[in-house]
Amino acid sequence: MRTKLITLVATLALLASASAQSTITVAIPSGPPGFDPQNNNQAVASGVYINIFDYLIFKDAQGEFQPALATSWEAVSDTAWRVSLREGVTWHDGEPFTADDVEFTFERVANDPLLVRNSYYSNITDVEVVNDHEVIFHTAEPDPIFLSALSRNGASVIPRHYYESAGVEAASLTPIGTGPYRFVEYRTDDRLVLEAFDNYWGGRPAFDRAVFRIIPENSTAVSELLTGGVDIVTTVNVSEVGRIEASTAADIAVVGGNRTDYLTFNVSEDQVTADPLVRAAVDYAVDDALLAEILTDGAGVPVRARVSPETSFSPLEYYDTYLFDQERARELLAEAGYAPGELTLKLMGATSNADAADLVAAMLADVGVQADIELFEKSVWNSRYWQPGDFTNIAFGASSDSSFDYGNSLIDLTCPDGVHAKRSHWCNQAFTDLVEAANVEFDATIRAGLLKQATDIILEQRPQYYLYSGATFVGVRKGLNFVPRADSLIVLAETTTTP
Amino acid sequence: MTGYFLRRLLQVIPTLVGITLLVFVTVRLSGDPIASYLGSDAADSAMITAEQEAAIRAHLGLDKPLALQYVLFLRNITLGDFGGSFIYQGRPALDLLIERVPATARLAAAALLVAILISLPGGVIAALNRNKPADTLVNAFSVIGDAMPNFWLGVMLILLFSVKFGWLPVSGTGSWRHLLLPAITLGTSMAALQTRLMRSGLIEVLNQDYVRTARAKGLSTWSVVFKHAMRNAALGYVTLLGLAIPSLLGGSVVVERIFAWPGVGLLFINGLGGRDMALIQAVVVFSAAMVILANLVVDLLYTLIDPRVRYA
Repeated sequence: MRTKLITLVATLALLASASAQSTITVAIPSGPPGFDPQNNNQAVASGVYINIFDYLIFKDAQGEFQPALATSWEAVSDTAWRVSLREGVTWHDGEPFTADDVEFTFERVANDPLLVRNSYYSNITDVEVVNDHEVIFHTAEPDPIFLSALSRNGASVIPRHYYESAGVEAASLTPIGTGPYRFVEYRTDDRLVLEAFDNYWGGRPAFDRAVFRIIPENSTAVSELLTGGVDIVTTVNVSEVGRIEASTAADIAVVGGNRTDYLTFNVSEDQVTADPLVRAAVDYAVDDALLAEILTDGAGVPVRARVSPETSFSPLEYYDTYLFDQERARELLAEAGYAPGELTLKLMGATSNADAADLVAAMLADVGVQADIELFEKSVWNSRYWQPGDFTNIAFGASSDSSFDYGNSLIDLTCPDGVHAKRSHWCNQAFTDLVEAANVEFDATIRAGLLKQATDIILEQRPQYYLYSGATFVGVRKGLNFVPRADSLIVLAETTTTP
Repeated sequence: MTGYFLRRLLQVIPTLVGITLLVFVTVRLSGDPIASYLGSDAADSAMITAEQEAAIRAHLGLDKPLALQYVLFLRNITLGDFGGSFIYQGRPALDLLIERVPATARLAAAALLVAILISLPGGVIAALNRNKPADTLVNAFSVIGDAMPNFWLGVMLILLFSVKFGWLPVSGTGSWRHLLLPAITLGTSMAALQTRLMRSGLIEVLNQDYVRTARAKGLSTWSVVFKHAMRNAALGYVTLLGLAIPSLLGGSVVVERIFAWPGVGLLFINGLGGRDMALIQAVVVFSAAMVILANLVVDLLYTLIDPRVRYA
């Protein structure tokens, strides 16, 4: 009888402690493709991975490098970086983390072309293991943004012993990391369940369980937030912001980033947009501030280049500024030989660009240019836009860069391999030389100067015309202390409830 | 009976082969999957070297001649291999599909039940009260139910029953309560159609001589309607139920998205959005097989309801 009573009490105590488990639930619009962090290019998945895996170096919300699995680092030459590793770190399965794992991680991503992050790390030629807690990275070219590469999507450190014993498929189904949460269960397009890792080197996180619910429909995710079904909605559409602002259950947080919306011009000879005067006229005709106001509910900021305060080496004189002078646009068109009503431009994009296209078309009409809009379903547009220059005149685009380095984002316009250069058929050797020189330059002042000069070439020639730097709305349950980040990482280890 | 069944079963094969060809060609005609391989909503601008692109093409088998690709595709699917889904880091497309079928089957069955529970009594009431207020009411419901797009209905149901009253969960899976709103959303438009069909079928039968005779013999309305008339009126009704399977699968694409219901529909949208050939092919072939199977079952049911079909 007494034994039964003790068992009963123990069970009740266990049940009580189980029910006292704290859980944080986050709504994300799409689930991770799997858990191989080197085979993923989606911001939302990297946002989740940061809870399971660690980078060597972690960029904090202010963009400063902080020690993570690496405790210190230094450049030993233009092409070599010595990195000291944290001791006493264990993987979720209890195995120790060593330099061997770092070697495996970076040699794998640098050498396997089927991994989607391969090209971002192919500059690494060798990872030399000095001892269990020290490595030297060797790069083919000098790489001033190497530290950014170690703290971005694709750089999560993965365990050699697990990948080699269980195989890639198993490792990407049931991951093992060194992060604050360990994997429990993933039901694709439903939910990912994690639980706090007691032996986390950074200390046990505040919540016992973390649940990521995949809710593709934004209005549904917001309804969940308002009814307590989730605690955080990582991306709230402009149209849903008002519902949260009007509620007593949650707040809206706005976070900048480095996503820039822009127009790409096809500058091939057979296009009317080959004429720089026409491109300039479009720039002057379109009111960037009004576009940002309407399309981002006032959160976006007009820009003249792919710059943002969060992006290092951004020439910020081109942030929060724009050209808008419709009289000047008319003059430029006249100079190019077009009387009012004579010029027709084609505007192409994805169906998600519909509002932007309507607004731009109306603004162009103000200066006597007719715009024909042609929109495609997103995946069709992606594959079409991917083909070099498979669009007429003007295409809508938006880009971000998870390295948060301005020099890195300019590679897109270098010739001949830059993806944006290919699309617009723009090839400028002086620009390419400047960007290439900047991206092997360690002196920050010289580097900034080179990037500014390169930017001025874009502004003069306009292969792309930048509209505004976007912002993300994040819905957060009241009483939750969550810091949304410009790089979309969902850092639950730093999240707490307000006392 | 067995001969009829075998004949119908044999007819399935060329249809299925035709569908594989159709989906194979359309997936390849509609654009290049490489951009999507690298992530369509990428954090970064897609950066890729020529060598990487060539390696990915070879990996996906896109470097082979089209005819050979099709032959390999056909051979592989007979072995149950639809290929690896690149938007799910190479997981076999068939595994992903099989994992999702139960959720969609549950949703479709519940929606079907909703449709039957509404349409059967609705149709009978309307037919028995022809041109009376009850009939008008049922007809009005039927028109409204048919006219409401299910994405709109779904959102409205969430706002009303989950956000305003807090009676039901907003989305996701877990209990029968999670199933209610999506099933009603998906079943409503089908119920509308079925109601009209039951009503018109029954009205037609109720005017037949044998029904008049049955009534003249003094049988109760219950007996006349449910024992005699219904069985004949059910022919069209059952056909449409069978034909509703494709619309249930189609509707589930929208409904699963709204209610974050992890079924085949959501998988299909992701496959389309990511231009994931293996996944699209697997889902289309599977859905087609389901539709064909449903039609087969309806045809067989016909033979039970109406023996004339067997001898035709």
